[in-house]
Amino acid sequence: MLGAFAVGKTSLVQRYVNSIFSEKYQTTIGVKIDQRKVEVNGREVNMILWDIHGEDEFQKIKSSYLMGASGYFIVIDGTRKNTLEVGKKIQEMASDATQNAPWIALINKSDLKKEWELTQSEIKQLSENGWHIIETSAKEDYRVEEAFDEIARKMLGQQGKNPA
Amino acid sequence: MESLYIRGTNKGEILVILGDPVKFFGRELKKGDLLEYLPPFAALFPLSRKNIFLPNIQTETGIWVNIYLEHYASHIFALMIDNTKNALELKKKSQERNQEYLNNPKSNDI
Repeated sequence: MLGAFAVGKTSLVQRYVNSIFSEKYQTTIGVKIDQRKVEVNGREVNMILWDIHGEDEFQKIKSSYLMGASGYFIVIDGTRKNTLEVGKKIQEMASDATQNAPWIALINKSDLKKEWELTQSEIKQLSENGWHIIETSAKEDYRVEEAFDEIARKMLGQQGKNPA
Repeated sequence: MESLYIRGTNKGEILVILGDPVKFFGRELKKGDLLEYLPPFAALFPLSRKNIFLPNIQTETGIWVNIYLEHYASHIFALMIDNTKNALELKKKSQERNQEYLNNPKSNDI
């Protein structure tokens, strides 16, 4: 889970792993690791989720956290346009560190869509540039399960392409 | 002693050789344990560098640990889990950041 601070990375993981959501904001310091077993295409997969602190002027993401990652999410807060710019920079770094592992951009907080600074035309532009985007809400449990299932499918697909 | 020192092979066996017990990703690790698998780090092996430092990893019990992985020789590595990190200091830092965010959730200062 990668992105600027307070975009909802931890909330998405908590929704996915524990089916809970808390309004109380709690900054992640360092990395919190969770896991959940999922079935993808009839195969049981143990997903190890590294919830990495949001990047800001206090905490820069270490590339060593990304080594060995099979895939990642770039999480963006639709209500804060600047989180897209942060997400773009992190994605470039993650692409290098993971040797082009599969990824998906999650535009989170769809429950606050009236307050979004990101416009549909900007989102469309990102899609046209090849971004796989899923709009999510950890609060309302909107498309969270789908997002994790999709990244799992992409990761397994990538593995199938690599020699054993 | 507040650290665990572990060595093993990248074939999946990890032997805890010294240190105080610590609960770590669903396992109570203690001296003499032979683990088949430590999931969070499985993807890191074989190591692509001689040393990897992973600071501030929060375990399920809420404590933070620093993790060092060191490549000794072909197929042999050491893993050290250091929980001497001052968890209270990190909690304080986290609380300060929470307050900053609550004061100005739309801040562009990132």
